[in-house]
Amino acid sequence: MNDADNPSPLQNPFIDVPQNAARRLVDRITKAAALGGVLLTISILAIIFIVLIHGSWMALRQIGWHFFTTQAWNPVPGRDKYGVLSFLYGTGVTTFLALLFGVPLSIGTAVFITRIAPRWLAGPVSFLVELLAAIPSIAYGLWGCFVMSPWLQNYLEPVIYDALRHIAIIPVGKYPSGRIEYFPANLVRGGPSGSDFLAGGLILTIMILPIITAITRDVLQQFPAEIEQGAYGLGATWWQTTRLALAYCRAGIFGAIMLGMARAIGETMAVIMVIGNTDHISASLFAGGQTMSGVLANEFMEADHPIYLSAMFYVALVLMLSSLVTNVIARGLLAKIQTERKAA
Amino acid sequence: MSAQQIATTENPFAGRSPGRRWISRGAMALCTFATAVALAVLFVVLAYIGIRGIEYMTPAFFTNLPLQSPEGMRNCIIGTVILVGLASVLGVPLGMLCGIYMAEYAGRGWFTYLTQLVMDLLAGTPTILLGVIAWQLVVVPMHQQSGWSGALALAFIMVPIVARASEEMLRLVPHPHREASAGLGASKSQTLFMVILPAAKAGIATGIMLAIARVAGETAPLLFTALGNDQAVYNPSEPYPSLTLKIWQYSQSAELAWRHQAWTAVLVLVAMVLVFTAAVRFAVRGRKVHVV
Amino acid sequence: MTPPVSAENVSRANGAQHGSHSAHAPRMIPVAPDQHVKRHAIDIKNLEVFYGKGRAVHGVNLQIAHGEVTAFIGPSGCGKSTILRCLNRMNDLIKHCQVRGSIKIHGADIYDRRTDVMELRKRTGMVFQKPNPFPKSIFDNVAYPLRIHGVRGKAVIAEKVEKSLRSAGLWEEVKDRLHVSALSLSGGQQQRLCIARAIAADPEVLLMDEPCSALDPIATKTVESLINELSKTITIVVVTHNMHQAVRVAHQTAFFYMGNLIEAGPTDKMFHNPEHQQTLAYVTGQFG
Repeated sequence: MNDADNPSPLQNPFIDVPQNAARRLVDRITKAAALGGVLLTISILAIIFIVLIHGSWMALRQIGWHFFTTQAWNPVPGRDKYGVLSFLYGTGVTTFLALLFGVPLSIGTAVFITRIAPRWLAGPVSFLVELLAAIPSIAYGLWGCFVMSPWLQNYLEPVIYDALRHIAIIPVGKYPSGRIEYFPANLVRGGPSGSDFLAGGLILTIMILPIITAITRDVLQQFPAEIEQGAYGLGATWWQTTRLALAYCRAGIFGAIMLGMARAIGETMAVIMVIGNTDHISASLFAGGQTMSGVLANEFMEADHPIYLSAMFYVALVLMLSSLVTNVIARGLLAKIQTERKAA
Repeated sequence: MSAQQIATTENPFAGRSPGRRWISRGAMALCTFATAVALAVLFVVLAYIGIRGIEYMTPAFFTNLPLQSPEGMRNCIIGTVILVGLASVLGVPLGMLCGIYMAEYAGRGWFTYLTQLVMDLLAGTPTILLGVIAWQLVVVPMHQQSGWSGALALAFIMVPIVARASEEMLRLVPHPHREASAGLGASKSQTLFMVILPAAKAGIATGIMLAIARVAGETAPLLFTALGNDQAVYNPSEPYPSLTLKIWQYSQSAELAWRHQAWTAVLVLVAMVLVFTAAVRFAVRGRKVHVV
Repeated sequence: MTPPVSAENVSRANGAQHGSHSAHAPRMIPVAPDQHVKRHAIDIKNLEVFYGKGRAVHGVNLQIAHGEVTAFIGPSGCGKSTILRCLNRMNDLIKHCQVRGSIKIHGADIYDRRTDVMELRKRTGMVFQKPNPFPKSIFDNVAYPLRIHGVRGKAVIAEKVEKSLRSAGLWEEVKDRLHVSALSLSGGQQQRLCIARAIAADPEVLLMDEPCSALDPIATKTVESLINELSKTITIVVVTHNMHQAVRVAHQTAFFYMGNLIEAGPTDKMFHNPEHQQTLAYVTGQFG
C-alpha cells in the first residue's frame, strides 16, 4: 500500500493549477466584457435623461409648469411663447383614436388566429399580420399622404360629415364666436380635409395593429386547455368560452394594448405626413393638429435661438416621460405573464 | 306524429338557447371580419407601393444621383446600406454582450431586474428622441451633421433588439449542454464560446437581421443626424445620404417627378426590408422570435 | 500530471480479481471522520447539502474504493444524485445549493476554497441521465474535452478520439461517419458517445448519474458491459435506480434513504445479507 493515494493537502492537485491560469483570465475578461456592455447600455438610458434635462433646463426654469397649460407656440425671437398643450392634445387624440379602432381589430384578429382559424391558416395569417410591423413608417406615411388622405377627404369624410353635421345633441361648450358647441356635430366641424386627427389616428391604427395582435395572440395561447374543455363541458358557447379566455388573459392583453399605445405615442413620420401640422386644439376630427414627436421632427432643426431649442428639448422630455410611463405599465403587466410562463 | 317530428321537436339537446348561439356566431363573424380588415390593409398598402413604385421606376433610379438628369437615388441606396452597416458595427456587439450577460451571468437580484427594465425602456423609447440624443452627443461637438451621428442613433435602436434576441436564443440552448460542458471541466467562457454560442448562432443571426431590417426603414432618428446628401459622399464625417430621408424630402415637395421618385424609393426600401424579414421568418418558422 | 494511482491501475489491469474483495475486510463502510482508511479513491466526511433552507443530505461519511465500481442506490429523492454531483462540484452550478463537510479525492480536498473546478472536473468525468451530446459532429464531441484542456495538434487529438471511441465500444459503428452530427446517433450510441467524451481527457474517476435510465434494454446491456470493461482502468461511481443493474455492474454498493447513508458494503453482502432492515426492505423491493 503506497502513500501516493493520499498526498498531503499541500500537494493538492486541484489547487492553483498553472496551466488553467489563462482560462481563468479569459473567464474574467468575458464576464467583465458582458457586464461592461450592460453598464454601457444602462448608461445610454441615463444619458438620454441627462441630455434631455440638460437641454431643457432653460425652458424648465423659465416656463416650468406653464408649459402644460399654454396652448400657444410662438417661436419668434422676442415674442417667445411655448406651450406643449396642443401637441400633448394631438398625441393624445391620435393615440386614443388608434386604440379605439386598433384594439377591437387587433383582439379580433388575435382571437381569429388562436381560436377560429384552422392550423393551416393561422400560421400564414399570423405571418402576414407581423409583416405589417415590418413595413417602415415612412412607407405608411407616403401611402397615407398620397392615398389615404385624398380618399378620406373625397369619400369617407364627406359621408361622416353629412351624417353628423346637423346632429346637435349635447352642448359641450362655446366657440370663440359665441356659438354653442354641440356633440357630436363638433366632431366634424370644418368639413372634410383629409389631413387631420382622423387620418393620424387611422395611420396609427395600422401601425399598432400588428403589435397588439402579436402579443395578444401569444397571451391567448397561454389559456389553459383544461379551462376551455371545462367551459365547453358546462355547455358554454364558443363566444362564452372566448370571453372566459379574454378575461383570463386580461393582464397580458392590457399589456399588449399599452405597448401599442407606447408605439402610437412615439411614432413620428407616418403621423406628420397626414396630420396637417398645425398647433391647434379642436374637438373636430377633421381639424389638423400636431403631435409631440411631430413638432420635434418639423421644428427641431429650425430652433435657432436658445429658448426655442430648450423648449424643443422640453417637448422631447415630456414625450420621453409619456412613453416611459406607458412602457413601464405595459412591461409590468407583461412581466407577470412571462413569470407565469416561466414557472409553468 | 312521425318519428321524424319527434326527433326535432322533443330532442332535449336541440336549440334551447338560440340567442346564445347567434351571439356566438356573430362574435365569430366579427373576429373573422377584423382579420379580413387587417389583411386588406396590408394588401392595399403593399399593392399601392408595388404598383406606383414599378410604374415610376427607371434604370436611372439605380444608377444616377439626385441632381443628375435623369434623376436617381444611387447614393441614397448605398448610403442607407453603409449607414445600417455602421450602426450594426456599433450596436450588434453591444447588444450581444447585453444578451450574453442576461442569459448567462445575471442572477435574480435587483441588478438583473434593472437591466431588463432598461432594455425594455430603451426598446420603447421613441426613435426620434434617439435622434435628438445622437444630435447632442455627436453633431453638436462636431459642428455638423454626419453619418456617424446617424449610425449612432440607429445603433441605439439596435442594441435592445439584438440583446433581447440573443438572450432568448441563448436561453433556448438546453441546460444539459451547459452541464455536459461544465462536467468535462470547461471554463464558463469555453462553454459559452464553444458550445452555447455555436448552438444559438442561427437564432442570434435571425435577431440581428430583424434588427437590421428594422433600422433600415427608420427615418425620424436620421432627420437631425445624417441629414441627407445629394452627392455620392460616403465619408461618415459628412452629412450622409439615406433612402428614407430622401423619401421624406421628396414626399413633401410639390414637384410631381420627385413624388414619383419617392414612390419608387419606397418600393425599393419596402422590398429590401420585407424580403429580408420574410426570408428570416421563413428560415426560423416554428421558432419563436420576438420583434416587438 | 501522472495520476498518483497509475501503479494501482496497472495491477488491476493485470488481472486483479474483482470478485476477490469479499475476502478483504470491508473497505467501504461508513467511518468516523477521524478514522484513516487507505486505498480509497474518494473520502467523503460529514457531507451535508442544503438546497436553500432544506437539507438534502444529512452528514454522510463514505469511502469509495479505488479502481472499482461503486453503485449508489436508493429511492427517488434520497440524495444519491446530489452526492454524486458533489464529487465533481456540479452542484456549484445550482444557485442556493450549499455543501458542508469535506470530500477528498486521492487525499486532495476538493472543497478547498482555492480548488480549480476545471481541473477537478477534468479528472472526474461525468455521464448524465439523458445522453447529452453537443450539437456538433461525433468527432468534435469527443475532441471537445481535449481542446478545452489545451491539447493541440490534429494527430494527437485524432488519436485520442479514436482511443476513447474504442474504449466506449463505439469506434466500429461510427468510424466512417465521424463528421456526422452526434444527434443522428441512436440513444444508446449517444450515451456511449458521452462516455467516450467523458473518458477522453483520461479522468481518474468516472461519475455516472443513472446512465441507462433513458435507454432501452439492449442499449442498457451494452452500456453495462462497457462499465465492466472501463472499471479495469478507472474508478467508477454509478447512481442507479435499477437494483439488478447494481448487482450486475457494481463491486460495492451504498444505499441511501432520505438523505442519509444507511449502509454500504460489497454488493453481494448488500443484496443478500444486509445489516439494516431498511436496506433489506429496499433491495427486496418492498419500497422504492
